[in-house]
Amino acid sequence: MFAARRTPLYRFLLLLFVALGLMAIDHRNDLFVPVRTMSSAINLAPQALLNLPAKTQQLLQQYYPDARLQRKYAALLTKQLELEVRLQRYDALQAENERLLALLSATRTPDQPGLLAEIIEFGLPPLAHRVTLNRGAEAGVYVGQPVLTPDGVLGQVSAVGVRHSVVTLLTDPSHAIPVQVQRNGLRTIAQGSGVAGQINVPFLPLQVDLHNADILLTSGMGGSFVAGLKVAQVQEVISDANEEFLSVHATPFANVKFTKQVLLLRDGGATATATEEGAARP
Amino acid sequence: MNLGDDNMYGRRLVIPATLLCALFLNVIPYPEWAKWAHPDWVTLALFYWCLALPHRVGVGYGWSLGLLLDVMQFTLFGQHAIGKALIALLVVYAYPRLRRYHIGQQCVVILLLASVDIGIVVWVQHVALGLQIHAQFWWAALSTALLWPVAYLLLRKLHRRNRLSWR
Repeated sequence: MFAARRTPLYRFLLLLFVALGLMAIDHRNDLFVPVRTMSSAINLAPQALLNLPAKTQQLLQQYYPDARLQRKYAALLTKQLELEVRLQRYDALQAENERLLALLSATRTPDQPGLLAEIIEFGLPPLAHRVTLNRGAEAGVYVGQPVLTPDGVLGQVSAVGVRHSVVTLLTDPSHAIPVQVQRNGLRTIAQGSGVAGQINVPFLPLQVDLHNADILLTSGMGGSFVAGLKVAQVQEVISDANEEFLSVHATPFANVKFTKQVLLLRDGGATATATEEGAARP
Repeated sequence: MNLGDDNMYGRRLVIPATLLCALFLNVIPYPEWAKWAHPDWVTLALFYWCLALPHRVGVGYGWSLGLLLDVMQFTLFGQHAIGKALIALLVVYAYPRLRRYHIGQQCVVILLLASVDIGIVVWVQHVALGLQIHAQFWWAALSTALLWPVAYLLLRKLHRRNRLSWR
């Protein structure tokens, strides 16, 4: 009698409720974070398989370096020399800066270099506003860590696996970032639009001073991002007297299509608040 | 992949192996122009095995595959599981009729099932995370349906070679 009751429909309904429960728990709290970190290791297999051609090519190039590679090597060598010379000046400046900060009795955490990572996967719709990086919990990546490109802020780490992590881009509708207008210091929040290459700046009164081509920087509020990083450039400011707020669209500086290498900032928030306090104290 | 009569364990692995391949194919990146129409290989493989062996592959398989997809794509646990379990349920109930269908008609059935599956994922994403819903999300259902003949022939070949039963 019991066996007869376990029809596919019965099993489906049972599993449906289990799935609904899982979803509710997963959405409401971070109970499953360790489970996710562990189980997402299965992602390593397809990624390794997919990277096989590229890896083979790299390996072959190591053993058969061609002229192009030689030239590139020579160019990089000169570049490195040049940078080293500049770095000496930077060292001197940093030493001076530290002396001055000590004079101001500022508590500043030591400069931690960021972690370089590579984008190994782009999200497909409807998860198009996410990318996967090749660094994870093993390299010290944590949820909420800011991710930068040479052009500007790319987004924030939203999930961490053992050897990879998922970055939510600025354009994701669930992502918001505290910003400041470079020209006049206006502080506000920019939110993802769900459209590639566009973020919105909602809830600004009509009379606010904001123009096309204004540059938005991180404000350092909230403590996730260091202050002063480039975020986006205002593309369009629509002021409609029938609406309560301005409609502002901006284009992020970081373009995920042309980016392979990214930088994960370590303790971006801690450094930022410490320096801000230090600067504000006197 | 012909594993012979005596290799019972090998033959049992055929179904999980194809499903695992489908999972891998689901998470590979696609070029920009094909991004909106990435086919759902898991739905195709699940549909085939539920149709061919409805007493062995069913709701449990679909649900587990969906959960694996949730793990791999960092979506909420259970989000894909519901859709895949639903597909398995409908096929397991309707398999005598679906088997008689012409392959073109089966394509239409897959189009409907994949659309519902995508609808569930998109709707949960909309409710939980505020995703804006675009009609383009459903291009994937069309490409999935169009790939059914390929998947069908491929899987039937594997199925027959390894002499799995039809129950």
